[in-house]
Amino acid sequence: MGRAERRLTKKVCLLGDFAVGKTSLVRRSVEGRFDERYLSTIGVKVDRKVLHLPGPDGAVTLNLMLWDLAGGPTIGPVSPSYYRGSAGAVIVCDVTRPETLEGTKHYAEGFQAVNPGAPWVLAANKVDLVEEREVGDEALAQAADSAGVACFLTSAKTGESVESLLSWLGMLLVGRPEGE
Amino acid sequence: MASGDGARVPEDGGLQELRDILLRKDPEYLTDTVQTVIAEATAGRVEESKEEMAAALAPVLGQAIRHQIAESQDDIIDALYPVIGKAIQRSVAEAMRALADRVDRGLRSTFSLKRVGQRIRARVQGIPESELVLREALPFSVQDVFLIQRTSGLLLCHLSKSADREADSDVIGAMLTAIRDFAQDTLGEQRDGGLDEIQYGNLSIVLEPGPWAYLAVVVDGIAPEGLRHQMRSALSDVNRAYAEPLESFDGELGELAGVEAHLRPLLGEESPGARERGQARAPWLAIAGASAVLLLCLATACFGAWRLTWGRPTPTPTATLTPTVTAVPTLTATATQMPSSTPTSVPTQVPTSTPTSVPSATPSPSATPTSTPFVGVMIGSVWLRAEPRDNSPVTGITVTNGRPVEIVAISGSWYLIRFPPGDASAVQGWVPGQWVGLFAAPPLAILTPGP
Repeated sequence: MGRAERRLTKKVCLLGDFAVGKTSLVRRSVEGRFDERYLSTIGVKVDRKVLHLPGPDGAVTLNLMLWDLAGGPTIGPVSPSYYRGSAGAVIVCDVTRPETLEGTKHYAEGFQAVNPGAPWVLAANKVDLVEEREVGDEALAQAADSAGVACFLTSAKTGESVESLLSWLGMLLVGRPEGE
Repeated sequence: MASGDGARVPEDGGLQELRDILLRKDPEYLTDTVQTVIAEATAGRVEESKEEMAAALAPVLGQAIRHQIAESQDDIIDALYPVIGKAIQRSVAEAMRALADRVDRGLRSTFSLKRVGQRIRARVQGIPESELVLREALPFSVQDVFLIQRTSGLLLCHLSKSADREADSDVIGAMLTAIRDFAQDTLGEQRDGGLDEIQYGNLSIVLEPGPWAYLAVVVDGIAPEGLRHQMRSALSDVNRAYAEPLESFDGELGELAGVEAHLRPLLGEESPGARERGQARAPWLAIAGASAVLLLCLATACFGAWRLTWGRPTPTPTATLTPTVTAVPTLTATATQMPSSTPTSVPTQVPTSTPTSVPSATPSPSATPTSTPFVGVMIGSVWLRAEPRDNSPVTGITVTNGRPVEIVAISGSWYLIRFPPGDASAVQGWVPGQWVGLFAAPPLAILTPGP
């Protein structure tokens, strides 16, 4: 008889400037029941993403509790208390607005101050807007390298790389299978 | 026929007037002319087709009402008061009548000695009897119990009476934590504590914080006074039993296996573990039970005398208790108030003004076998405790709301209960008296000095 599948639940924060597409990015792939109005009221909306991943000791069912946090110049600063207890983060920038890439450093610092050593990944969103793109691959690679994180070119519109990004973060949280 | 009475040509004067009306540019004249017939025209149109008129007017009705309220609020209030006032009056009257019925039913359901029992309970708990009766009449039920990690908002355990909420319970737990954090950030910076309660209509979420996890209980109705104490007690048990896994919790729910057993009593259910433990004790209890049956026979001999003394001034109850727990039947265990005129060979059975044995805070379970079990009913689900005090260890057995129990002894505000009633091999332990409803005044034999 095989071993029972391990079940894990982890909190993950979704961070980034206003209108970089955080909410849209995960909307397609998550199970959520709360309205987006919560973002403009208490500044957070929680959704769930279930991943089935290979773990170091066998298969793992990972429940990612995605805390979509409103933030940025127009909304105001993210409350650090929302960061507490997070196992990881997705920090999002908009490739049509270079200043949002600069903003990712600020979010990463704030997040790491509350959760030292917690992994995060960079999502360069809206890559489907080819004509309007102002942030090049080089700038993204440099930002990701200097932070020591992976960068995914994503599109909320087409769904490009969203699943890969969440799976990658999930693997970081549960650990890699033996031999990989 | 091309012409007839219906196609009569107006007289010259009439035609001229019509021409004047249509061609005249004076709006005041037109208004004056039309307003004399507009009411009749509208009424006629309504008569013809109410649906069409309703559809035509509906889009502006809401706006018209808002406008009118803004313009003359008092007029609107005056107009609506007779209607709304009566509706509210009727609703309140119905609620009060239902409450009164419940109170009356409670008072009538048993013989009048229950009232005496309530009086005693009220005295013990230090509240007016009327409040106690009213409190017991107010319906409430716990719908959900959430145990949530304080910092991350991860759901550690969820128990619910509704299967619908199971699927989203972890998301609800996280959002609840977000709301709690939001309240703390915006309101609580200068204050200790946190969000205690969220109310929505007849429902409320009662929150109880702990060092690593907090409890959130969804209550339908008005939560009883003891609920928070019960939550605190359950949380304290959880924190004690799972201190290490809770402190280092990293999302592995397997580390908290069995935690629901501590929370199930909050939902008014007995945990399966408790039932198993209760069954496992059966053989041992059977031996104790056989002993108790023997004691019961001895007690029967004293029953007549006990009846004679009922209602007399309270004899010193210390004589009715033995300080040690024993399953061996001994005469000293007979908890009766033998009148001094019928002395027995055992001097300690005779109540005198001078205590003949030292009262104990933990009276023997076998100390009070009366010929008729003194029965009450649980009005909450609670843990049985080994001793009559808050910090006494729990026995791991819960007694659930609505269960009939035998009250074996009373010590201060604590009752030593046994269930099922009359079964000498039954499970027993101490519970706070506030959770036991009495049908009659407790026999003096079971009253013992408080701890």
